[in-house]
Amino acid sequence: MHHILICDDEQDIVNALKIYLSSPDLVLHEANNGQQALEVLEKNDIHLVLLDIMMPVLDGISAMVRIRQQSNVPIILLTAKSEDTNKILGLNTGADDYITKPFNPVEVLARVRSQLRRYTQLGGRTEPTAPEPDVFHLGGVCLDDRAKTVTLDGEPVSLTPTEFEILKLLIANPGRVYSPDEIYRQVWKKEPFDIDNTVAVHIRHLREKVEITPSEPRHLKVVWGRGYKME
Amino acid sequence: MKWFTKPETAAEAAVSRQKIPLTHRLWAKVVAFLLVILMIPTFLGTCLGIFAMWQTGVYTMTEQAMLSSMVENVAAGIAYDAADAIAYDTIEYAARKWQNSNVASLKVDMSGEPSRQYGITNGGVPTNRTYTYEWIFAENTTTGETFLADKDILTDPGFQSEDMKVSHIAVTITVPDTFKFGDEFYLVSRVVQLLYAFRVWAYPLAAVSLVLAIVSLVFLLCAVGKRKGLAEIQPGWGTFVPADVLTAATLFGGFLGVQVMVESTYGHESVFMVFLLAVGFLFLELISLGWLMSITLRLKLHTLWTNTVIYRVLRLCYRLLRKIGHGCSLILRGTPTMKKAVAIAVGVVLVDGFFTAATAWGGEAGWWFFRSVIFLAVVVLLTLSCRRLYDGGKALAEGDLNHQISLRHLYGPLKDHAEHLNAIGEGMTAAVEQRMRSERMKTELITNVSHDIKTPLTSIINYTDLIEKEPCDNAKITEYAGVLHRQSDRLKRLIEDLVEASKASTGNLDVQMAPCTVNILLGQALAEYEEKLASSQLELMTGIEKNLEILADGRRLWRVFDNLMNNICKYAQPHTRVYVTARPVAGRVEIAFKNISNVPLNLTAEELMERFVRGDESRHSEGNGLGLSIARSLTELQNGRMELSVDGDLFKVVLTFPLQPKNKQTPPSEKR
Repeated sequence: MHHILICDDEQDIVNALKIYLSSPDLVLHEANNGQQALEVLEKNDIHLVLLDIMMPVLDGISAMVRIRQQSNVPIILLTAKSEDTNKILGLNTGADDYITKPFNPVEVLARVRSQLRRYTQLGGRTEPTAPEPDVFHLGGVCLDDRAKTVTLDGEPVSLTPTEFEILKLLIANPGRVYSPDEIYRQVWKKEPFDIDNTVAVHIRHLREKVEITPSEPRHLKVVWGRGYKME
Repeated sequence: MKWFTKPETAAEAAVSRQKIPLTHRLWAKVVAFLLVILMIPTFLGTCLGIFAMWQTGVYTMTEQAMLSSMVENVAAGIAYDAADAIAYDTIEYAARKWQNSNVASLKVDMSGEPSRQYGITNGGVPTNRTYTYEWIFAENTTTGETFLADKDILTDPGFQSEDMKVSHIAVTITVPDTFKFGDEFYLVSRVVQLLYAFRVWAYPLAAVSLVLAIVSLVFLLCAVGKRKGLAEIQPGWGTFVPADVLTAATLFGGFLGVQVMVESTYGHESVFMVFLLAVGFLFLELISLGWLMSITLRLKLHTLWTNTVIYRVLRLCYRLLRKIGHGCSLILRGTPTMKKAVAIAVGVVLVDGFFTAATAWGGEAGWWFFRSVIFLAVVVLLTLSCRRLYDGGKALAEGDLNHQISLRHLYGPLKDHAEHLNAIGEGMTAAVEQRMRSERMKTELITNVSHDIKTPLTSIINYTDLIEKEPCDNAKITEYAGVLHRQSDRLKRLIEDLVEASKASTGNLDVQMAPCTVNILLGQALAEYEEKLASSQLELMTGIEKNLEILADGRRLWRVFDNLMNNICKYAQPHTRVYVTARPVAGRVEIAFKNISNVPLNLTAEELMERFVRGDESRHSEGNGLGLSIARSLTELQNGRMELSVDGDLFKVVLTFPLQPKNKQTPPSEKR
């Protein structure tokens, strides 16, 4: 049983979210401004907060700052502000995810589930107890080279051998940008000659499997004009 | 041109030979030359003769009267000689030359103190031509002085008859009508005869010689420089001599000729005199004619002015001056304003001082020093002020609107000017700020409005989604909900595009430029569109050159490609090919997208590019027409250019970016 707080000044949106998130394992609480959200949080053991930014009385960012002073509960900002600066500000001031309105209900559900998993099952471990050379973690993605398995937020993902190799290459070197030619050389073990967008197509498929929103990837990122990286 | 071609038949040859103008023939020129040489003295001589004949009365007297008058003149001369001879008693000796002459009879009678007589008779036809002359021969008894005079001297009041021995001399001379001997009388009669024969012909002769001379001269001048078989004017053997040198030589020659002619009049025999005159005149004629021809030839060749020493000297001077001026201007341009002005001022002062020193005394030198100091101080002050104004104007021109010119030590109009420049800076700053604020406000307004629109839109989208999912018996409701869903999705995209278009067109986007490999980026972009292209039944043809680097913001450039590819997927005719190419063109990278439109494009490229404009016929399909506008704005933000062209159904977008030289040192993950 997970308790979820939905906080939005627009009652219609709160209702819609309640419909989408209605599930036997989820208990839904609601609030219409930041102040109410803080009150609900004090009274209940909340596992996840869906927070709007533009609200009367107390706005979402201020409320989030107050929440963070006491709790590390996952907070997903759900807002109409879609500018990059807003996203950066929200994520930097303590949000775990950022969803822009108008949202895709399925995406919201997936992200809520993902955050819950991380908070309740995976989040407890901050440092790996023992170095596991063949197991790579990055964000919610976990690649086990021995078992040849990949999980996303604990859920198994099925990859083709090529996709697995590409993911292994990228996840083993987080932050490093690999050009398509480099990936081709390392994965296909051949000189890249006239490969066109072979690598790009594989990466796109991979992205669709390991990302909730492939057009806005969180981990497997496209460095346009240069290559790909994971971070 | 025709002269150079070989005539093919005899007839043609004859025709072409006939066609050679007279001016091109050498013999004609020689004849004309000689004619000029001859006709000019002929004309002048005739004119002189006519003038002399008028003077002597040839045209007013009859031949007989003229002959008589002339004969009488000769007779008077003989009579005087005879009187002179008898007065000094040498008549016997003198009379010898009259003994075999045309003098019919000569009688000399001297009466008084002393008195003598003499007479000769040669016979001949008796005539009435008998002339009598009387003279007085006087001798001063005291001084012994003698003189022969007209008899009228006796009535002269100044004549002192005392101390004088006076003799009367009477000479009677008879001359026949016809002259047998070749003496003076014969000569005179022949001359008169000739003159009267000539006087009628003198006028036509003068006229004809004048006309001939002029015609020949004109012809000669026309013909000068023309050669047989050559169309162009040919330079002669003398044209290399500078015209002014030639003129000077001609003038000198003319002077010499005149000298010869003048010389001839001094005490030479008449034959030699005539010879000298003729030679002098001929020489004058030759050199002046030669000069005239040469000058004409130069005129024809257009070298009269250029081929002169004066011209060459002037040109040399001009070039020298220009070089000096050029050098001075180079020096001046290379020197900063301040140093330049001070250098000039110091130069002026030094020159001034030099002249003062050359002409002046102590007090004036002091005055020079004083005024030099004042002058230099003023120059330095003025130059510094101007320099400050110059810097201020330059700063303004370069866009530094905050630059303020200090007003210290600026006076008069310079101060006013500095204030005006400062005012311009302030005004411009205000205008720019105003404009930027308004642009920012516009974008902010659109952004904020979009936030406010998005909130109700979220509800609309969510609830239409919910309606769609709600189990319903009525198929129409499901269908209507589908429409609502689609349209609200479209509205959402429209709002997002609107915000982006507004930001892109006002430059309100931060662009992080980084080296970008075109083929990688295009590969990534095309990979994203692989399935969409396939579902639109489009075949992709690529011609992308490797290793083309440009400086761009990858994310923004992806948006450009995204929009263009999206456009293609929407508007390309199914079952056609889509071409994406990238190649270097003159230091730039040209990326082209070509496709066949599925509807006729009845708009121009410019209209398509305009914001919100779309092919009217395709208004029914999805998309909002902002795509191209956003793509163009984003391209321009990255220093690129986007050109659209519509050729029938062929729709082509060409992006060009400056080619970035491949830099090996750039780390592959320099910046994200």
